[in-house]
Amino acid sequence: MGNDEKEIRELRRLLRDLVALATTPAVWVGRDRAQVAESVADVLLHTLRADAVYVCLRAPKKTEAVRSPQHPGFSDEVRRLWPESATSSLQVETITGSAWPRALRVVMQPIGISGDEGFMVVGCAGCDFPSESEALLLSVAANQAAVALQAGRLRMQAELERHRLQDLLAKAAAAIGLLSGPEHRWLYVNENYIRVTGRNSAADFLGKTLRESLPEIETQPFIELLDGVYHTGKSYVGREMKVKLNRAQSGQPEEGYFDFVYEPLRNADGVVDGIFVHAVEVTDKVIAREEVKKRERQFREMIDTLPAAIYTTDAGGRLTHFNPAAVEFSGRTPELGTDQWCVSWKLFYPDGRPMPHDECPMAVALKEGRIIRGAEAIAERPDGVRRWFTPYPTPIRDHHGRIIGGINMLLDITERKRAEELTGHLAAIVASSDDAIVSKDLNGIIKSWNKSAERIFGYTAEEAIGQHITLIIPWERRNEEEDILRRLRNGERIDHFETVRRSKDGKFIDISLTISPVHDGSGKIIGASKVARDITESKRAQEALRQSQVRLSAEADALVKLNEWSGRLWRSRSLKEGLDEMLGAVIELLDADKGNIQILDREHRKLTLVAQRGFDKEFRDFFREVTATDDSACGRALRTGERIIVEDVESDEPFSPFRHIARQAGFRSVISSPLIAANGTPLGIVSVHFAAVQRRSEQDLHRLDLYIRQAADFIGRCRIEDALRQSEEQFRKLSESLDVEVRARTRELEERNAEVLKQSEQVRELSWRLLLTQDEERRHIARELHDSAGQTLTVLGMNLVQFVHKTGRNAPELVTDAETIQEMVQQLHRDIRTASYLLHPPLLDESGLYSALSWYTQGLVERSGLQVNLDMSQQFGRLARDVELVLFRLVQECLTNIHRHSGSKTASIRIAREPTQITVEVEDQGTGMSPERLAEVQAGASGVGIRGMRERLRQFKGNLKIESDSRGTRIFVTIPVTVADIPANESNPESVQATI
Amino acid sequence: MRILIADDNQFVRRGIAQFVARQEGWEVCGEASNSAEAIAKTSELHPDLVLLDVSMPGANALETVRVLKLQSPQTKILIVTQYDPKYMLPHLLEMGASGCVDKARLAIDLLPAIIALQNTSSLRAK
Repeated sequence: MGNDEKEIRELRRLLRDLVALATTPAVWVGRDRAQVAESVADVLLHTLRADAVYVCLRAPKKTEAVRSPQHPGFSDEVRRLWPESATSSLQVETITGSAWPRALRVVMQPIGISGDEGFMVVGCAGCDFPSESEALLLSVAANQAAVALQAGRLRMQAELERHRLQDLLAKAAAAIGLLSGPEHRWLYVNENYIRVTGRNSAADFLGKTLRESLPEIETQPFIELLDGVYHTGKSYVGREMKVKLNRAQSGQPEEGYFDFVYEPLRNADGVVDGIFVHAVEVTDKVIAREEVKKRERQFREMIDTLPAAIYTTDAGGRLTHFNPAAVEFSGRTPELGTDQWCVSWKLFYPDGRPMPHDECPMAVALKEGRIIRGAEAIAERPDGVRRWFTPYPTPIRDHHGRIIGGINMLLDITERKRAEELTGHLAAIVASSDDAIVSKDLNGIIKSWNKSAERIFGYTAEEAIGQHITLIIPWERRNEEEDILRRLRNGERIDHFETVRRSKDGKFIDISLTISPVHDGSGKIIGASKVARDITESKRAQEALRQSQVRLSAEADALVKLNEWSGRLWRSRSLKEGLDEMLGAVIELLDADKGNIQILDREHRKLTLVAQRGFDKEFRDFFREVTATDDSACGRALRTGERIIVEDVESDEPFSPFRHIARQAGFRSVISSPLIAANGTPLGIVSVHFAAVQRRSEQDLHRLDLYIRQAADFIGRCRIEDALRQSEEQFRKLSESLDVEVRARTRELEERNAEVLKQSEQVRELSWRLLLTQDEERRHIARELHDSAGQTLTVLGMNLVQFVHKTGRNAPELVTDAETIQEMVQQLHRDIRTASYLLHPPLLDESGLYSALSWYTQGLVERSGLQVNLDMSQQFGRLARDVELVLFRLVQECLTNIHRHSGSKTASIRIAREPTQITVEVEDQGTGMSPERLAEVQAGASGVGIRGMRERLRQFKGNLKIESDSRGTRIFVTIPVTVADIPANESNPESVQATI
Repeated sequence: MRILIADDNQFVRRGIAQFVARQEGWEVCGEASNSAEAIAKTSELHPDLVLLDVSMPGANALETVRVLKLQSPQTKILIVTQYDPKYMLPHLLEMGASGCVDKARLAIDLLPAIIALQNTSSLRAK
């Protein structure tokens, strides 16, 4: 009985050891070769109660482990018996050693297929060693050691691959980091991440949380974003996000802008356990764009201060900006983006025809791409006011020369036009007068000849102009003309000189002549105007006629002069020249002795002397600057905006403080007229001075006003032209600098873009390589699990039956235990098989896609209850190994998604082989995806599994399409047959025919 | 009954041999560790039954069954497999195998399977 009990104990122990050994290969997996050898030696020594153990592992490096406490020299004996080229099958020997108490029975057990991993030798003193169970234990241990070694090699490969991956990440131009866990703890950062955050080394990050490593982002939204990614599993893509980082030398937070991606990382169960961070700094790009905007703003502000109407448009003529002067000019507020070509309400050609907006000079400039100058048009405001203007349209081009918009200035020339109209009108009066009006130079050459001159003297204007005046003077009166010319040179005027002239047909005509000298701008006499009246008419009318003749003559004289002065003024090439011209004209117009012009400095509200004639230095210093508060004539004119006449300085009360100056300067009377621009802005004052007391006629003052208005118009134009010249110059400089800036930034962006593309290609290549490695590793592990562990368990099961058979009679209570163990072994066998097949279905390699998918879908139906309908021909045949794997994984991924997420009870799969392509359709009747979610998945921003599928399919030129609505989700996949067909080197007839 | 055991794993072979040897009137007449050996020993020994592991290295299961049946038509072939048997059985039966046992259930199913085979053949013999 004692012996039986001992035996049962022994057997129980053996059973326990066997199960422990067979089911826990993980004990040795993950150790290096030396550790495996040592562990095996320990286990054997312990489990078998051996006296000596020797373990030898071969390639790539011989590794030995020896346990022989009482048997010195045991290992030498073993090495002698089994040198490295030991046989590949189990051998049993008996060996002795000189110092040993007894001879040892030793068993040599090869490790791995044909002993290629090495072998182990166990020595025991017992003569029946090894028993069957001991032999079995040895075999199991050898198998487990082989599995551990194989797994170790696979791990090393995976490790190498991981190192290569890390190396690539470290060299990436983007900042890359890996965060793990809900508290975002750093697992990895590359050099660029450390650099852009301004930290010193990876030690500032690794093992720390995001909050600890970058405390400054606590108040920024990034941790919330990361929490969101972590909890929803949806990746986040940020564009030009502002980030404040403590990276400046000053220690102050510095703003930067980044494009980045937070991509959730999933563990083997598909649960998010980390986040992949990929960031590219784009601060320079953002700042450059801000700078361009700022300059644009500055340019617009500059335009807004200009007094002329200015607006800009896009290339299509739509208004993009206009200044306050443009609103004032057009009498309305234009609408940006709607109004086209011009700010004005209605447009007309100078001849009065309506001008459609799309034919206006700005439209022509933009359409034909040219600068237009010298055009004139009329704009009508909504209140009916019409304005003549000259436009200055200019197209704006980018650095490629393409038109990107236009700028236009509208210069108001209404006043000038009115003056031209008036002088034209006066000239018409001269032309239509009943009196012959003729002008000549001091040499007597005829310069002008009106209609009445043609009528009275019979010569046409063409015949007369350019001829000497003696053309119409009778021979005997030649002396008379010389006398007239002499008197004219002295500046005298000849009134109602009655004489005789001869007409073209030789007839003598009695005429009354009024002859006035004609002065040029400097007051020099350059000729004479003659008004000739036929006085052969009734004597009764003679006197009245003479009177009117005098008036008309003076008027005509003045008008001709006015016309000449006006022409000269507008021909002036500069403001300075124009001012001199103006002063001379006004002095001559009023026959004054002195004069000056003061221009208003708008900023300081002061009048500054800019032109004068006839004053000494003392006077000029006194009146250098005058303000509107002064009571001098010019000061009062500025204050009131009206003409001030001081007829006599001695009697004019307000002028009293300046009397001594007037006396010193030698004038008695002064007239100051304000120069006022068309829009009512005061520009300056023109003053003329007289040595004697004066009282001017209304006509004189009217002519003065007429001229002063033109002078003001002229100054206004000079100012606007000056401003335009300045703004054009500024605009040109600005465009040039903007152009250079934009070109540099564009080039920089293009380079960066290329860099990003290159990186994404690298990442793709990497992820593809990872997928391949993953597949290969799965295949290996599946095979190892299935073959080694499966075989061992088979033997274990049979040994158990034997065991029960042998001991059942003696120890019936053991039978129940053994049956339980038997069931456990079988369950373990089935579990290992299922796990192995899911890792990599062997049917796929050996029987092809149809068998593998049939097996998989049937298993899924049993495990999950999902109704799966597989529509696929049994004669589908074989495809390239990789393509079969991709299609299998695709269906696996889709069905897993349907089972986990869709809520559908059914799924159908159709796989067909068409002449040019393989098509796969997977469909469910679930709740479908929301349009937002679908868009995310389509764009690849979400759905790790689907993206993995796209990546795999891309390698085979395949295509994946997803449709989803409330009725369910459908996935369509195609792969071209040319890619899917079995390549020549893979078409092994044996494997094609294999059934399993 | 004379039985040939063809399996590449010596422990499996040994286990099966011990199993079989317990039955009265059954005898292990030979062992083979690969397909070629199985074919050679079958043509030499003409056993009543071959227990054939179809996952041996270098083996094409269908081809091995076909050749065995060709060389020794009287010999019955019982397939022993590490894989789930339901996907291969129809093809193997077609080639002449008499049945199939899953290695996961070998300890339980082997003896009943052999006995069942023996009964059908003795019935047929009668």
